[in-house]
Amino acid sequence: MIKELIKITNKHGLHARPAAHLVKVASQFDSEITIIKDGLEINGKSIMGVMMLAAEPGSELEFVVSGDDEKEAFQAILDLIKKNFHEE
Amino acid sequence: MKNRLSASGKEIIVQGTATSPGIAAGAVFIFRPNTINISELELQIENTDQEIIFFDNAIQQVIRQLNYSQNKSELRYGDQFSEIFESQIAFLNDPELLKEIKQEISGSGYSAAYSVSKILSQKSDYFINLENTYFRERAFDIIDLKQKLIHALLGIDSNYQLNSPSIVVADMLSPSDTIQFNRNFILGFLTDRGGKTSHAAILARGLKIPSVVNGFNLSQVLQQGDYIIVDGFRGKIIIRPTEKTKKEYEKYQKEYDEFELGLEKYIDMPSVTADGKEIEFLANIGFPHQIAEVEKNKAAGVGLFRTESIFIESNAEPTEEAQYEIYKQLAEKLNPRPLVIRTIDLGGDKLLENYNLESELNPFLGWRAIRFCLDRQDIFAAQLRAILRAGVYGNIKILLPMISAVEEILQTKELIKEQEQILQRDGIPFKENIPLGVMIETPAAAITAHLYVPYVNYFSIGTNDLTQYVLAIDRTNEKVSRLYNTFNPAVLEFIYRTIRTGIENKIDVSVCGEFAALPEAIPILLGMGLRSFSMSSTYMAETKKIISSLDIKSCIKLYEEISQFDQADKIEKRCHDFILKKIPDLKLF
Repeated sequence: MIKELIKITNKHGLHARPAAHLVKVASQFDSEITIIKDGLEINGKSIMGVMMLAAEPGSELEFVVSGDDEKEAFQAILDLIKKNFHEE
Repeated sequence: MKNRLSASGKEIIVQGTATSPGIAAGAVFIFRPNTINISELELQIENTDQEIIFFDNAIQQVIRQLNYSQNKSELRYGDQFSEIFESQIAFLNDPELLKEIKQEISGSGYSAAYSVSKILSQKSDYFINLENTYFRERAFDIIDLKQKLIHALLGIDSNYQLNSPSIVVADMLSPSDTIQFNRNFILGFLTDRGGKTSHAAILARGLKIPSVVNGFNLSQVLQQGDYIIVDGFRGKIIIRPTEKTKKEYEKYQKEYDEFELGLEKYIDMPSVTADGKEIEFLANIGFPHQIAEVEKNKAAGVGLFRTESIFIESNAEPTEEAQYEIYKQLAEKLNPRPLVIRTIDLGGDKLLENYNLESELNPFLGWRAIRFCLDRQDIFAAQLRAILRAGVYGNIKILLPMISAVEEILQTKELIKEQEQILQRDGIPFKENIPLGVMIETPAAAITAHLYVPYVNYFSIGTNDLTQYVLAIDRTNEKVSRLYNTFNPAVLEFIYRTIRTGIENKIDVSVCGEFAALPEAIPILLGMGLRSFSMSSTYMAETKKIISSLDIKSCIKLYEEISQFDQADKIEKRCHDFILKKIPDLKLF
């Protein structure tokens, strides 16, 4: 199981498009992906859940990834967030 | 409900919130009157499996509706609203959400409509309590999905049929509702709920449909056919206006329509003067997202990208990587049109807390722009590398701010060469020989621009700072700011000399200050020989209209005439009269 904090640094935070992007990447993996913010725990493969995090730029999210492909899954998510969702 | 408002004969003015500018006056069309009583749907279902199949079908039906709306929107308006539909469809494809609703149906035995209502109401209640406006207003997207699903489950069709021009009044409107109406018959929108950043408001602004949120329950109080005015400038709703009010608003609306229509057609016209001289229109941008306005106004490229925004917005020093991504994307979008990137112009009025810049006695004469960059080569080098790398993807040019000596250009060129070597060594692709230009915004630069010629590829005249430095006036100081005037003969002389130096040495010159978009200034700049203007995209249509009404010959004559004048006021007055004579309806701008 991987448990890590990742900071959101893109322009507007997890608005609709970046959130959809995150869910798309998370859904490619078999591992369970849980995201926690301010006590709210959601499934990283659910767009409703990710939007409910209301993550603004600068906010820190705790990712808990567990499963056979947890390493790859976490790395893919980390890359996406670090690259600011490939936004303009 | 009885129409209480019609009972009295008086005009009623309700103050709401304007969400899309414009004026609409006409008959009310009440959309989707709220007739469903959810508590009646709380029936116990025996065959929950069957109910889940109904639910799955409803989901598919609403997805089809949204796809249809999205296609319709894209056909008519391009992909500018696609995100709105994508995000609603994404909710309907969310496996977790679907599971939750299905569990509610099978667990509680309530009807699908009731279960949908219960779960989605919980979600929208959650969002409506969030502090951040963007996330809070997503509640409206969810309420809309809820209504659509319930309508699909109960087999109710929404009535989008407008038979005559009307103001659509509703409790709430979603983007897909907005798109279903016949655009030709929508005069305006009036909703009880919503906000400025709600998707429907964004769409209304994009479609130029006046829109106001009333914050009360006017959709239940007003009746089909009531006459109202919706003032999308001031957020007013006037119910049963008097003849006098109607007349006032008719006039207001007509002026606004003429103004908008009159300008829009110039966006698509070639940028040439009345006598056929081609003029280049470049855009100034401060933020990457402004590229959308650049495209909308058909600019020939970006003549000034102020990169400070990246540094101020991120509140931390942006990495080379982050900058590279921004420059690359802009360059790719514009290619082959140019992207002029001005290196950091921090200091002076744009102090950056992160760099602990000390407060200076004379910040405008202090440690700023190129001076700051050459002292903080770590920051500068990272920006230069990002630009060199992004250069591979388009037509990028570098622009240096606040130059007042050749040494500053030489030191920068040296630094660029070093960065090229580093990139070469590391095997990172970059563009060689990226054109280098300088801002002409100090008297030193303007008067000795010819000394810069061997080292640079173009000049960009920054009239705002140039005026301030030539006249030694701090325009932020109220006591002297009235003396700040670019029409001062001294400032005009500096601008003229720079333009001539460029022409004589076959070096491109552009003006990127506010002066470039000033109607009175345009003829004299043309008369001086300027052929390239860089300005905020919002002025572009207006400036194109002005240029198309001017011929170079009379502009040269005008410049010759005013160059003999000894006072700024006289010059400005003469230019004002000149431009009004050429374009009599200019007062409307």
